[in-house]
Amino acid sequence: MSPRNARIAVLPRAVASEVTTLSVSRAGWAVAVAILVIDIPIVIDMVGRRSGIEHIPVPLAAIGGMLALLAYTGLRPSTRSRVVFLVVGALLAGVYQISILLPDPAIFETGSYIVNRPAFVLVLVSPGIVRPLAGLRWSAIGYAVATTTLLVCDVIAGVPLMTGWGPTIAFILSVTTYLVLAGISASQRGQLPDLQRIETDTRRLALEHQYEQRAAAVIHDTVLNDLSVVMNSSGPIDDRVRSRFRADVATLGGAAWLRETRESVDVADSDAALRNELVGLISEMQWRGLTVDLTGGSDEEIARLSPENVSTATAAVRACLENVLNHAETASVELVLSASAGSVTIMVIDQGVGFDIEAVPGDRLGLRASVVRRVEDAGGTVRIWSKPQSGTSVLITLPSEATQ
Amino acid sequence: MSPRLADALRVSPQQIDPLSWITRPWVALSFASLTLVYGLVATLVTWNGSPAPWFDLAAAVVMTGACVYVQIATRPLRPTFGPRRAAIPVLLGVAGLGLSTLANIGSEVGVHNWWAPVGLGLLIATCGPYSTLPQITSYGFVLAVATGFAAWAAFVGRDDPWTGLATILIACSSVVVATVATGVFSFGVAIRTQALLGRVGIPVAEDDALREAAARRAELTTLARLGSRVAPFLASVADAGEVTAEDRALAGQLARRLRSDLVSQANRSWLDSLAVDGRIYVVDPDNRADSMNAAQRAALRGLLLAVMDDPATDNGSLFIELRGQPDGSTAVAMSIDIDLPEGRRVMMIAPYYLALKTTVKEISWDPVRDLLRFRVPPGKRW
Repeated sequence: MSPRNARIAVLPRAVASEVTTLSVSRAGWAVAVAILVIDIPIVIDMVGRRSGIEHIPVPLAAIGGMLALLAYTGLRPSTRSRVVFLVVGALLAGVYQISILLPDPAIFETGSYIVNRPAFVLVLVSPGIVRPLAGLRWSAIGYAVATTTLLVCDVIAGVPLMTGWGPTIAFILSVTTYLVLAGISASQRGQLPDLQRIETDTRRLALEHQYEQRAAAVIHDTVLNDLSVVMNSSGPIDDRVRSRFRADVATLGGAAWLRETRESVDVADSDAALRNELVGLISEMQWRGLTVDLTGGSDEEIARLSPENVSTATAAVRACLENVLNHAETASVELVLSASAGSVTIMVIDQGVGFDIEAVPGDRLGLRASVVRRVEDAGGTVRIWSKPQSGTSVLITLPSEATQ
Repeated sequence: MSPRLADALRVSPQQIDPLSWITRPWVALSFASLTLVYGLVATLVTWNGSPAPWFDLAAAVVMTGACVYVQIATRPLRPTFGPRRAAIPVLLGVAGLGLSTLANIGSEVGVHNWWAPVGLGLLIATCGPYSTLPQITSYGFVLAVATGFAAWAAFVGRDDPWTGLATILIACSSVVVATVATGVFSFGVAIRTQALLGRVGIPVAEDDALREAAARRAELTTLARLGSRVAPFLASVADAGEVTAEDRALAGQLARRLRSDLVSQANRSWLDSLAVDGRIYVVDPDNRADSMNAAQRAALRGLLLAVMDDPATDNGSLFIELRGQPDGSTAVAMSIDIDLPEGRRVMMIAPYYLALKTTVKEISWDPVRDLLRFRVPPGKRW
């Protein structure tokens, strides 16, 4: 992913809240399954020992039915499946309770623990819930159904009315958990930063910064050079210079070039735009006293440079040639174009006075702003070799259409 | 095992979604309160049936303390709550279980009414948001085994309706069920969040409105500022068709000023732009700020803006230094001097710290020196 598109790996708060609530409801569902599974050996052990093994199949079948219902609600969580679970589950819980109590009413001494397990899980009927308040509502409905089922079955079995603590504890835990989630969600609304908004603002500011740098590079290449021409001129000026001044002033006014996008564009293979642009540039430089020898440039890869990168390359080469013209104390320069898989390389070589790269003061902009930054912004690289009295070579590499 | 599944097993809800667990100590303190209330109520209700009910009271306090410890150990900006740190609440839970066992040896309380396993279940649930599924399973296993032994010691062999197997199963069921629930919750959050974050990773197209707004602003500010004096001058020279001595002098002045403006423009990173109002002091000699990607910038910018917007922040009290490292990464040190109590300062910094943590490496917070450090991996400028 490009640095521009990197995102903070934090979910929007509303989404995170839904994920947490959904996971809590899934945990409740898992609790229901675990309670019923643990109940199986207890039923076999207790009912088998106290009432005889012939009384084991019915409660076990009821547990099996409850597990099947849980599988159904777990796989297809919806209001309908929850209602089915509550209605059919209440019936199965009743069958379970009565099938244990009728042959052994004394098992009630265990304080309802063994008889209220299936009814207990009715409180936990909320898989697929994504809002805490909905979870609360379903827990309350489940608790009411569970309590009613237990009491009705106690009446049918003729034992004292008692629901046991299990469903109540499950209800309190469920309510507490959903209330905590609702509380977290509410408290976060006022406290947590809106990272999505910050990200958008940051992208906008980065774009502004990029446009500012682009504007600065263009001003450097146009009006700063024009001012230099004025400083070194005297008397009448050539019509070409006058029209160039006007064109540069117009550039500052109509800044459509600022909005040039960097998205890749299909370029016809026959479009040798870069070479054409460079030929025009060479002609202009020759008029200003610099002889430019151009070699290479017929490769297909060069023809496939995007229009934006053609502009970037031309501007960067122009800046290099301006540098040669103004500082290298030489009247000739060599321009070599070549291409490799996915990139285009332009080398600007002069045999002028050269310079010490390390000693370039921080207030010198030419190569840095007009060449290096511009090319790097387009995804390319720049390497410079120079030594005093040994000339200068600038190697510009730009990605061609195939790799962008 | 698929990589996605393996990744989800390695992270806790807090690690994968840090912002959900920082605002208030709701989770740990809610479960701690439940443990205390349930422990006290159960103990008082069965007071006369126990030969040593004071042990149960002590057990309730110890188990509540274990939940409170989890709260303290998982406060924002603390190190990760791993097994080593979780050992303390787990041991406190075992200690509480031991005390409750002493209270119930020879008591009339049935195993199904024994509150201590429920207390352990609540302790496991307290650790849930801060632990991975394997960690929760291991805590649950330890506590379930301890509960089985405790139930065997206190309840098996009594003259009551329960068989030995049923007694141990009933005692352990609260711990097992809590382990299953907490594990499902932790894994569920991890795997769902992971899937959603995968979508966050999809690049966002820069919309035209954003691009247009940025271009218009650059037009209105940079171009207008830099070209305001030069453009009329060049136009007048072009119209006149000749250069006078005054023109040369003015061109020299304008060129010097323009060059100076362009130099400061070229040297200014996005961080310098943020520091223009003087509240932040930035040391970034190599323009390393521009090597940060959009996510890193957004998280850091959010933190800086939050600190700057706070009335307790004085001018110049934010200092940030960026240094290039031999491996191409950037070391960042940031001093945040805010006149706020520790708790409020942590709560203010925490969301941004945690967001930043998802985008940079080796982040650390030194509360004594109010120093935030992190490392930005090598990256392309943009």
